[in-house]
Amino acid sequence: MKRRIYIILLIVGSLIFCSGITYSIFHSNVILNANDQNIAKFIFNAENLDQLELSLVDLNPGDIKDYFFAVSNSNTGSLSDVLVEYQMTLTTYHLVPLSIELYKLNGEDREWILTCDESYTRNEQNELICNTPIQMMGYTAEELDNYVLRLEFPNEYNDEMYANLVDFINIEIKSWQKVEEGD
Amino acid sequence: MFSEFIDFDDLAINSQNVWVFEQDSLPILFIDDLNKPLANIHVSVYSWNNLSYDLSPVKLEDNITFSIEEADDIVPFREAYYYISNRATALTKDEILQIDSWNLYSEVVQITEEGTYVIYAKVIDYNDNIIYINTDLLILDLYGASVDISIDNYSWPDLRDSLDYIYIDRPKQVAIEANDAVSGVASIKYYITDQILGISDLEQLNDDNWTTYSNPILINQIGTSVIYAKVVDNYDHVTYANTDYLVFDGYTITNLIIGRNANSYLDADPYITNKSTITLNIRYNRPGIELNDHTHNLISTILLPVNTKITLIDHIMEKVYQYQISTAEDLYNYHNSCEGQGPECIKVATYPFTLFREVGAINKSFVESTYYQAGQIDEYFTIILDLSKTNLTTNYSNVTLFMELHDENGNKVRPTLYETIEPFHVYADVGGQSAAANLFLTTDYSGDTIIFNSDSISNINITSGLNYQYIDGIKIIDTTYEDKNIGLAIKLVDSAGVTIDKEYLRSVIFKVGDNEYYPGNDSIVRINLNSGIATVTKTLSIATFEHNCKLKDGTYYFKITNYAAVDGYYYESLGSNELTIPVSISNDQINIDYRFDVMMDDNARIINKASGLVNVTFNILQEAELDNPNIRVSLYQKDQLTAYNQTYSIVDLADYVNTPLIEYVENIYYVTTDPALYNEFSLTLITNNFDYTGYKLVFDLCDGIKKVGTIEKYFIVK
Repeated sequence: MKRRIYIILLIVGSLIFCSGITYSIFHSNVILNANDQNIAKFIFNAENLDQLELSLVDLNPGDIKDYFFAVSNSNTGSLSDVLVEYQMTLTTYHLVPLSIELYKLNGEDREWILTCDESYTRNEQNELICNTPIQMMGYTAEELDNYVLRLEFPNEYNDEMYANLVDFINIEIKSWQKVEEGD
Repeated sequence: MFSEFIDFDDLAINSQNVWVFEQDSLPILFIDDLNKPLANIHVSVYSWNNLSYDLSPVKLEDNITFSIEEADDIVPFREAYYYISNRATALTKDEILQIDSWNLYSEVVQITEEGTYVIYAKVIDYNDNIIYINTDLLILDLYGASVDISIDNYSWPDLRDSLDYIYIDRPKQVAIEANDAVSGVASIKYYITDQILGISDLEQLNDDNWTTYSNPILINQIGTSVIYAKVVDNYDHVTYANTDYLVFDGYTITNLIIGRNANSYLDADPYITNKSTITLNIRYNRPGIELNDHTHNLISTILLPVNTKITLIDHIMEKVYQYQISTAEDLYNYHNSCEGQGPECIKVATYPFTLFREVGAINKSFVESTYYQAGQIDEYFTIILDLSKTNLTTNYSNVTLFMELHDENGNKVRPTLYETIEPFHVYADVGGQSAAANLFLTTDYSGDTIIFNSDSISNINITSGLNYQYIDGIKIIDTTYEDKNIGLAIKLVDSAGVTIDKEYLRSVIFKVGDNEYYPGNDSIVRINLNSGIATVTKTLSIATFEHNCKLKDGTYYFKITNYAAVDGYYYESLGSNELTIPVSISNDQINIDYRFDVMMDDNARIINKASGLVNVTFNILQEAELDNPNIRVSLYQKDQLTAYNQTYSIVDLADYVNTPLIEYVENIYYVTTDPALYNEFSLTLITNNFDYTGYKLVFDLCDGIKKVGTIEKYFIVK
């Protein structure tokens, strides 16, 4: 069962994924230009929603979990008044041999965005850093970009050594104004 | 002139002195005087009046009576002497002249002794002329030849009708000697019969019945013989002589069997060890007369050692007897058996059958019987000589066992036919080494260790058999292995050599061919190789299975030996060779009935490195019937930051917590040494000491040093 939860700029708290329950948290962090004179911008509550942490505990081979989330350009009805670009960053240790894939949902279609695997580099904290391509959102109407993060634990790892492992996935959104030429 | 003859010497000088005056007046030539017979020697119808050097034989059958008388009454002689020579040739003139023992003849002389004689007479006339007269060779042969028939130490010089029995056990030669010193032996002949014949019977025998004797007579036919000899001398005197009854007869040994079974050691030479058994079948089946008060005896050319067991089977009476030698004392007349015999005598020990006790009866000894029925004697015995319980230390060559029948005086009346007696040889040692055969056991197994509590199959080729000792290239048979089957005995032992109980072998299968074998109550697996005592190579398969093994970790051994047993299973002793197959038992986790779980807050499974001190509590459940339960904990760090390598390496938990810990061994600490059903265990993590990676805490439930169960709790530090 999936539920779609909108994170509209201001989302408080982190959500913990449990078996069978999916939820999505999305956030976008836009650095406001204090001297901005435009109204359209991302409004994110940096306090809580900088990132989404998914604790992966007691996953078993054969498990497939979909985590749905969206990115919105509207915060409690306020639209960004500028074209916004955003990028999502997935981080994980990848100590569990999961297949981590991010899709953008376009109606019934799924647009593959990225597969976060060990081809990506690790940071100083040994986390894999998987950046999505930069996405854009308009400002004239309320828009939602829907995503699904699919985690799959392949059956081929059906071995005792892969039992009871622990990992995490963080999703972080960064957004900024798209400066158009001539503006 | 008639010159008087003086003597021949004078005559040589005075050749004219040739006259003698007969009656002192009548001259005659001396030579005529000399040649004119003066006297005669008369013997029977014969007479001689001169000296002759050519003697003719004159046979006289009566006594020799001779006289010396004048040849002419009118010419008497003055005196006469006689000399009796026994020489078959005439005396020479000189010998006659040298005779100094002339006997004065006064009357008729008689010679009564058989022999050859020449009588010399010396006659002196009144002119002192001496003339010599001799007879021819007088042969006085009053009797026939002397005869001697002989066999071994027996001889018979005369004709007899009261005969003894002489028993011979093998072909014998009978010699006849005859001698007639006077007339010589003209012929020797013999006649063989089983009857007693008198002179008239012998005289009535045709010439065809008699065989000329030229060589010793061979007695080689079973039966009774009386040999009559007929000797004729040159005076046609006939002399007879005969032997006693010569009985060539006896028991026949039909088989000398090595062991007890005739098929056990076919074609083997009769060389046996000092613990072996030998069997004889002895028969006598012939027409005969009933012999009462006779005794049957077993004869041995060695004094049988103490604890020799002799089994006597009487097939005619259908009884079985046994006798065991209980003393080294010579109760069997062995040492005195050659008393009064020549150096060729072979000592024997005599074991009367009456020593034997009937098997299955109480205090019942062998009872003598004549084995006679309707003119036939039928005896059939089997004798089994068992040396297995003796302590014989001497080697014996050419030992023989046979039977004899003795009469009431102990005289042998029926031997065993010599040609049927087969000697055997007993060896206690060969070159200082025991002559006993021994089992050998070899394998080509490489020695790989069997992992006991795992699924495995080990195929071990084993060759088993019997090594015999040899003497001069001849195999010495050890019948203690007769009718036995060689088998394998397998046991599992620990490093101290203690046999492991069969309870721990339930998951092991021992297989040879299509048959599976399991340990008996003594925890030993017995495998009958079903090949008798032949050398055989079999493949022993040992299959193990992963299973609940309660044996402590360590190295054990399958010990494989062989044995020989009648049924192929239950043995009295094992062979000296032993094969050792190493077995490894490693029980990191023993699946016994237990409950063990460790629960921790999931929130504590993702630790922030920047959190400082983080207290994590573990709720531990354990339930098991353990002798010495304890729970231990250790910390492992992931080796690689990848999902595709799940190896962890132990680190020292103490470096990551500030909780006091009790060390079990390096890097392993006790949670508790006296766990309850539920146990709470807390660790205060020094988060900063962790790296950005994954870890696991490993909790072991143990029984003493042995792990029973393990729970791993993974967490990450980020």
